[in-house]
Amino acid sequence: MNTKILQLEWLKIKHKRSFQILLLIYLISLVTVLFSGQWLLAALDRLSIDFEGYRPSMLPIYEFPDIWHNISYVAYYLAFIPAIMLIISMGMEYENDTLKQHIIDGLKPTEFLMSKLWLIICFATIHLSVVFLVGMTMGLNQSYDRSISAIFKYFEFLPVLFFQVVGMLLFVCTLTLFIKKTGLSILIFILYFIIIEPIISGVLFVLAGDNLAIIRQMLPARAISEVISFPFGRYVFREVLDYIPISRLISLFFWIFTFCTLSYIKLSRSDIK
Amino acid sequence: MKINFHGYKLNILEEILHINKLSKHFSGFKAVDQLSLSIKKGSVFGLLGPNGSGKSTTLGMLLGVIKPSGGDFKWFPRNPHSNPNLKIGAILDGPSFYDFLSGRQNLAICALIKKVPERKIDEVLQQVNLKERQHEKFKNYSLGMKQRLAIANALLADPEVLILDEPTNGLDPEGIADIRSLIIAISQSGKTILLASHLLDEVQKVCTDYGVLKKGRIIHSGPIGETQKHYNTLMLNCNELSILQSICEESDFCQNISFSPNGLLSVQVDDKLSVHDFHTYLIGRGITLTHLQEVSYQLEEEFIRLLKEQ
Repeated sequence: MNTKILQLEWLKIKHKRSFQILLLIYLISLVTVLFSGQWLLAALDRLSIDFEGYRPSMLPIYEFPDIWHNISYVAYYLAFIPAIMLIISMGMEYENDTLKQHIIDGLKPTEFLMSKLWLIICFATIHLSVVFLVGMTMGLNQSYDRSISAIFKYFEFLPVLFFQVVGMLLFVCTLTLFIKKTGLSILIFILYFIIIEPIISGVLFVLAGDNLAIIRQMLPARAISEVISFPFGRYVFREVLDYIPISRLISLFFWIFTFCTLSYIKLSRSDIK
Repeated sequence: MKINFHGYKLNILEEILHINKLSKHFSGFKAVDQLSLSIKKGSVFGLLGPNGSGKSTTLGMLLGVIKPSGGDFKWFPRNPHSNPNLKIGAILDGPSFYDFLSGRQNLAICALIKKVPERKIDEVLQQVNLKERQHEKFKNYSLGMKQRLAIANALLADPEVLILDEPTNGLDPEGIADIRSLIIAISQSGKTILLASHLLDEVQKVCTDYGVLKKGRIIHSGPIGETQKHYNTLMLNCNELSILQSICEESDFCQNISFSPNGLLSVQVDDKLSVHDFHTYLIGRGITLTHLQEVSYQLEEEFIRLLKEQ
């Protein structure tokens, strides 16, 4: 069944030009951004900028074990490209009326949902694989300590990144199932992550200060995005969370479960038009 | 199906679809209201109704894309299937395919869903006469070709039932003729067909049974008479009406010859004979017509009467 579902998705997307272009942009951007830290630090070096007395190029951002935390944090933000690809893939089903035709042809709504979930897992796996390869390449190249314990310390950031990507993609999957229009879904997705939720969070903070902190933490974009804390503060001697708080993991899994449930209910209980 | 009744073997038509008080409400509006219907195996059932009468909503419910508000239906009551759609081929609201894929690539996706081997694609493309254009993108197809591709998809799994929703919508006369002959050919292969259309002529020519929907309710259902199916009604006048009457009575292809209240001769002519050929036939027998009018089909008259009555 899973082979059939994956084959079905593959047949659909392998000939879609916009999908191929975005896939190329995505892979190039992901690799480039993850490698670009060293170029940025070298540029800062040339500008004679220092961090508390250290030359930027001396900062161990690509060294084990910090590298996993650093690149996982950065890589998460590039998941917006596969998110847009997923919206395109789902939107075309509504815009061409093919979802309806597939159901008529005998595909069950749950199978359709499974096909998109497999696509999400594929994206998250690709994302994770690229981050792992870049991390290993850079880490082995730039670390003084290449012991097994150094390499695999902080390795837990990788599976967390995987679930963060899954969370973001499930968010857009659910959104597109309700909106049904590619362009509008992309717009709402970007606006929600960049403007709407920060405003909601800001308003809650102004109204209730830290009393509603838990609710602000549970808002979906924040719950998905802030599982991994900003890691670079450690290089200016600020305290950073170099572990994953359980409460944040719970928030992330809560939304993963909620989006799966909402998508299932939407597909199985409402009319497919 | 044959049953043994006191030693006699009787043919009983197997029910293929049983609909019981099916309803669909959209925010208080009754799109389909307590619709009950039974369709027999091998029949070609025409679902007639004006726009907005609930034809597509009914088919949508039967195909599982619209959730009923009430009532139920059962496909293949004698041999229930966990996923009856795999035994049904259907077009609902026109052809729906990926426009960036070719006809063949689109059918490959459908074949995967229907679990049929790729070789079936060649068969159906041949059947709908699209084999030579199979590698062109769907977006470049004409409306008629798109419709034929949709029929090819519907036929892909060799379904027991074919559901066609307005299959000739938007087609030019040539396209209509193509699709109509395709439907006739398919119906002759013994498949059960459910055809929703507002083209009465089409239903009359193709269907064995019909039902009329109005405001979501079925107001009439029954068989289409053989007379209605194969004859055109003509109103005729000439200087020698009695001779015309006897010529018609002697011919093999005329029936139900009578005078209308306005004095014209009403004749039902076998539709194998075109009006032009019939006129030529009369000229050949020395009759010069002063009036020749093809009247509306009987089904159309019946349809209008039913709608008015309700």
